[in-house]
Amino acid sequence: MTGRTAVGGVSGGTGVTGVTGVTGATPDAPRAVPAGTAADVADVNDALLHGQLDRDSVLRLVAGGVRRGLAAAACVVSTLERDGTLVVRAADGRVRPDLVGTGIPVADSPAGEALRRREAVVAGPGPTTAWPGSVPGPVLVVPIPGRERPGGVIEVADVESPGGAGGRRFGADDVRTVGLFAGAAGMAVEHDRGCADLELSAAVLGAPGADPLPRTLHQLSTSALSGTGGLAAAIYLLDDNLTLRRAAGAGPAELLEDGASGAAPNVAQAAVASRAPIVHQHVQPEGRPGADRRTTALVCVPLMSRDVVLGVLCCLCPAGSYPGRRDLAYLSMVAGKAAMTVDSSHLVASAQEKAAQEERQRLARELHDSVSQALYGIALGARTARESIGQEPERIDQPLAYVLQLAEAGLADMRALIFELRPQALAEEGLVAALGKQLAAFRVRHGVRTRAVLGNEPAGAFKVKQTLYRIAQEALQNAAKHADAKNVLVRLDASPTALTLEVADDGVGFDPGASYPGHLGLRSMRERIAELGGTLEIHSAPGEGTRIVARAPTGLWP
Amino acid sequence: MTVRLLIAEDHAVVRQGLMMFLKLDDGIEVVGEARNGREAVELAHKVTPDVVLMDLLMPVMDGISATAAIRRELPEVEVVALTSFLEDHLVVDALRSGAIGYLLKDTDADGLRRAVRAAAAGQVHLSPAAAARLVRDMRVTNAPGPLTRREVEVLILLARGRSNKEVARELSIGQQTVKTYVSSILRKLDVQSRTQAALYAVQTGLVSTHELAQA
Repeated sequence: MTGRTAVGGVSGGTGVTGVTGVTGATPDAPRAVPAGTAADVADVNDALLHGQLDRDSVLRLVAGGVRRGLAAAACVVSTLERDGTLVVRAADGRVRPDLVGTGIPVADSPAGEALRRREAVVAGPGPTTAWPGSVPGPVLVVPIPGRERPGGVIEVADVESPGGAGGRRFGADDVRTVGLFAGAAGMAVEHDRGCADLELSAAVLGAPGADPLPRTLHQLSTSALSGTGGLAAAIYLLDDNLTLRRAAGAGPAELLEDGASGAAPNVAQAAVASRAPIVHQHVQPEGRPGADRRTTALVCVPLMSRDVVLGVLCCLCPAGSYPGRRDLAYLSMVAGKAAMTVDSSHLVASAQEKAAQEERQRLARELHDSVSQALYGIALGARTARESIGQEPERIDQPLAYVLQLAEAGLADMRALIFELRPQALAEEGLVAALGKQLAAFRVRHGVRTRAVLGNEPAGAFKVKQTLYRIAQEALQNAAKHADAKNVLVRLDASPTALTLEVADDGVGFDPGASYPGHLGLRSMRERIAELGGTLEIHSAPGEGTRIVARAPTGLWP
Repeated sequence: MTVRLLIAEDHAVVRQGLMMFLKLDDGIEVVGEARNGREAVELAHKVTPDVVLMDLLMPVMDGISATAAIRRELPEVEVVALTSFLEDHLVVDALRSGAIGYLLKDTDADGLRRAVRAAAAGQVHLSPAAAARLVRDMRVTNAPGPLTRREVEVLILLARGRSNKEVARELSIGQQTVKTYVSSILRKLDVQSRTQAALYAVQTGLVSTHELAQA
């Protein structure tokens, strides 16, 4: 998880004046790392490992360690932001205290050049470094490694030469020393970026029209890699048969699944069974005899939500590295987010399932109330007619008329129901046609006189029309079942901004203030219309008939 | 002897059809029509029918509550539940509330007449579908006390849909004796109605579902 620092970069022809690559000591004779520097590096790694420090605290340790390690006057660490700017996050030594938080130009600057080349560069003191005009000597700029984009840069200035005259030349050893810190800085930056991405995906989760589950899980797998520097990560979910199925992943899948010599499935299962994270270490024999045997670590963290295991997040660390406490904490966080995502998508699915169930219930009830009763009536009528033929043939007219009337009613009911079963019917034929069908069925079924004042099809959002249609249906049902009405009027009025539906009957009326336990009709009417920002008025009193007025914005204008 | 019948049914067309069809039968006289459970209870008090034909799903007061109220307040009035397949899960509740018969709204109009007459005679009458459903759903909760041989004989006949009078004739005993046997059977089985006792007989294999439905 350390960065590759190029030494001996290309010089000249870069467009930035006064910037050179670093040349010098031969790479195969590195100086020993001074004890002080080693201790500083250890401190930084320790901070990273324990994950107790945020990005900027780690970067401050880096700035201090680098300045001491190179015996420089000052060191500044900046991060590369999403928008391509560099922002100073930590400074150590003789720098203006207000430097932290300011931006560094990326275009035509040594920093930009180092980022572009992905290698260390040295620049003369100039206006384009982190401390304009305030340093006498050259400036060493080392890029901080990152996954998708560099993490930023470390700038060191005003190195004290042994002679004390200021401004000795930077060499490969200096670059290597900064490199010791750059890797750690990169991890701190990536971890922070990963957290920000997670926050972002969490925010997206809660938003309406959120990403479908697979995309979100894919993003989370990607975060798992960027936050830990792992090689491959994947999220597996338990299906109905409690089998783990790969739902999303980042990095090469085969690497993960064969990476620990195929141990991944078993480790994942073990993590699910034990409901706790597991780190599995696998020692793989190298191809060449006598070569280092490197270990591979595989981390599996179960996805837990509301005390239920939903799946597992697996992440493969690069060979030779072992996940620190910080990595584990980070992966646990990713697993937590993934669990939340899966759980909420389950909740949404079951809510939709419930809605569909309720709808089916309603239709079954409708069928039972209409077609089923009509058919029973037809059976009774036909029986009566058949027996009348033998007994009193002159009286056969009555049962036959009854049978015909019921057949007609049943057909009207069926038409209205089939209309409802086709989700696109209301959209295709419109609210006026739908209300007309509904009224025709109602008239035949209940023998109530109906009057419709509907006008032309009004302009309105589909959801609004659907709601008004349902309210009309409910109101008509009440008029037949509870009000014992003889006459019903349905009126639809449209203005440019609102639709108004009125259903009035001359039935027994009721007290709208009283509660009707077990009868949800009025409440669901109110709830439906309130969702649209509309209103529902109920005008009724015992013996007065009932008038229901539902008004809703057309939903066409925000 | 004419059976005086009250029809409780919220669908106007079905009430009309039932009236029309049952009028053909000289042995049945429709003495009232109720559109919901509450009306059924009120009318039952007013006209004291022999039998109430009761739809179970009704507004204001459902058929189960109405059946319970009628059986409690007017024990001599028998109730036959008449439902469509949507409510077949209510069969157990209907019998618990004291209905003696249970019919589905199907094309078997003759079964309807038979059921009304059987109820008037105090006989159990279930449609085959309802009987099957009942046997599946009903569980005789606690271990019943052992029945005597005579009680078992009475129970079998009762489950076959015989009235007390018929049982008395077949076993050559007095009607009063049959009544005594029946109440001791109900007590020992810890059930409230002849229908539930009949179901117990089916569950223990004394009679078949088929025999019960043929009653």
